[in-house]
Amino acid sequence: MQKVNDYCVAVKNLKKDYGQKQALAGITLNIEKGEILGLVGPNGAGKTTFIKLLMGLLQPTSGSIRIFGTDIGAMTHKEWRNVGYISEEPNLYDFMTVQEIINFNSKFYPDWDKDRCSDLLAHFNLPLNEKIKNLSKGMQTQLSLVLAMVPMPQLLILDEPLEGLDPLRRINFLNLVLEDYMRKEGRTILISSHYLEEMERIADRIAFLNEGRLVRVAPMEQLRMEEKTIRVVFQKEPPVELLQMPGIKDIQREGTPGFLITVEDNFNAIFEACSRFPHYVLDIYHRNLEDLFHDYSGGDDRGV
Amino acid sequence: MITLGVMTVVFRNLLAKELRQLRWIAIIGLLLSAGLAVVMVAAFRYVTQIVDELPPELFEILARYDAAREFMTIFGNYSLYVWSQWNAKNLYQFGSMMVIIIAAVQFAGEVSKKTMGFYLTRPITRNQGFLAKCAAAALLLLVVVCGGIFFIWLISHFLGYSVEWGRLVVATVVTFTWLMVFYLLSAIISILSREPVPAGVIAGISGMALSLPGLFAPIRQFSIFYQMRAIEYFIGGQPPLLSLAASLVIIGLLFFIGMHLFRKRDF
Repeated sequence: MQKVNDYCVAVKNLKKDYGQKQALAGITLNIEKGEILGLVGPNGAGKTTFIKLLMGLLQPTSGSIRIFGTDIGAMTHKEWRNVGYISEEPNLYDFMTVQEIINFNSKFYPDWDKDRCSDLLAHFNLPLNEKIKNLSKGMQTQLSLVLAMVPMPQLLILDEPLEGLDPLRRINFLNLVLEDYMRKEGRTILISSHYLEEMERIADRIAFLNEGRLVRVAPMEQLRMEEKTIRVVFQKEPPVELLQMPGIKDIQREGTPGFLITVEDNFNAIFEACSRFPHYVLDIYHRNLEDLFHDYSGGDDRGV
Repeated sequence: MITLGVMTVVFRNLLAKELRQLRWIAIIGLLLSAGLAVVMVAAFRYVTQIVDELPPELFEILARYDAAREFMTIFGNYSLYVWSQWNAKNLYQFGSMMVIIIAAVQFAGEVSKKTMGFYLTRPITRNQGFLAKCAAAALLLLVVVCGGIFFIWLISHFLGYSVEWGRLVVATVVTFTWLMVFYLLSAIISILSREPVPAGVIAGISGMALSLPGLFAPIRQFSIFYQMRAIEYFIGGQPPLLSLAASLVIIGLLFFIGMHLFRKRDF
């Protein structure tokens, strides 16, 4: 069993209330070193609150957050230099030019790599002398990524970074993150996004958040393999034990004795049990992240 | 372990950013103080000419009224005139406006523009952030106050007037420290706000409330604006040590309250 200090991020029973409203209702989540964790959920699920708590922008009502094994309240400057962050909305000083904000940011990092910074700016074709207020939202996000990535932090926290980027820029952005940042060993990413297709492509694990609760955390591979729907029409009423097998998330009747069985785990055993029982029809429907998003947000499509 | 050198670079960087962000307030403040200095000194020349030309009979009549006697005393002494128009009127009035605007922009303004999230996610402590903002405000206020004194000196020198500079500078130090008290109060209000305009309005109303004791002679020492004018020093001749000490104690207290609130606030 891993110790808390072995995780890049260890969150325990984290709660956040805004007056009477509970934004987070006791989240416990560990992020392994070297993984990409995707955080998904409808608008208002608590994703940004969770991320802001990790960055120390909000004070938790209760619970603990450890990054690199240290409570965030006790983290040193050196440890914070190892955390990169992009917020959901552009938050750069718009009175500065691109060059000025780079100069401002670089002074917080004694090992700021100017060459790497120039390479990244050239990659995104960002104009050095342009005022930030004149940049599009997409360009501001790209600039935020440059500022966050130049120091090559151990942990990169991205809150809706793909918002405002056109499809080409989205691909460019993600490729840079995957090919440039993640190529170094032990780099970890926490990313929240509504772009589920992209999340499916890059995330190692997905955490579903809804109404301030963590409703499911699973490796992407497991979701691909196990999260499926079986459509079966039996020749007669199946035994109750079959329909109560562990791993079945939901069952819908389609006439008698037809069933749509939604499986979240233990797929092979459930499928085999269905196939052994006399049936007319037995089909498998693969479910993508968008289908799962609908399931875990209670059919709420506010965020899609 | 972070070195002192890195800390200094970080703090200087934060300070430079604050000054850059507030540069227009500084420029307007300096222009305003220069303009006020010109108008003030020029007005003395014209008003004294008018007073000199008044017929002696009218003087005798005016001497029966306190306000008129006070007016004639002020215009009979250039140092007194400069203090009455600078410290006791223009400096504390536009200085108060300035600190309200600075505080509103620095805290609520950054929250409203969402830049506070960027600021506080740099590898700095919130204490450093707060200290840099207060230091920038103090520096900016000092530049505008010193700029005003410089322009008064320059124009007075040019027009051949001499001022008791020592007394005027001491009175200005008193005005400055009490302006810092008002800045820190405005900063606390701004920290608790999410929009700069309401923050500024509430700070203004608080300022008005704090000026109320000044309307009643027995308790007027409790008005921060009464203290800003350094009236008991300049007119009464009392050393301003008590006023200075009180302002420094309140500055310390408000600074730590502000720092605590800034550290605990959700952004």
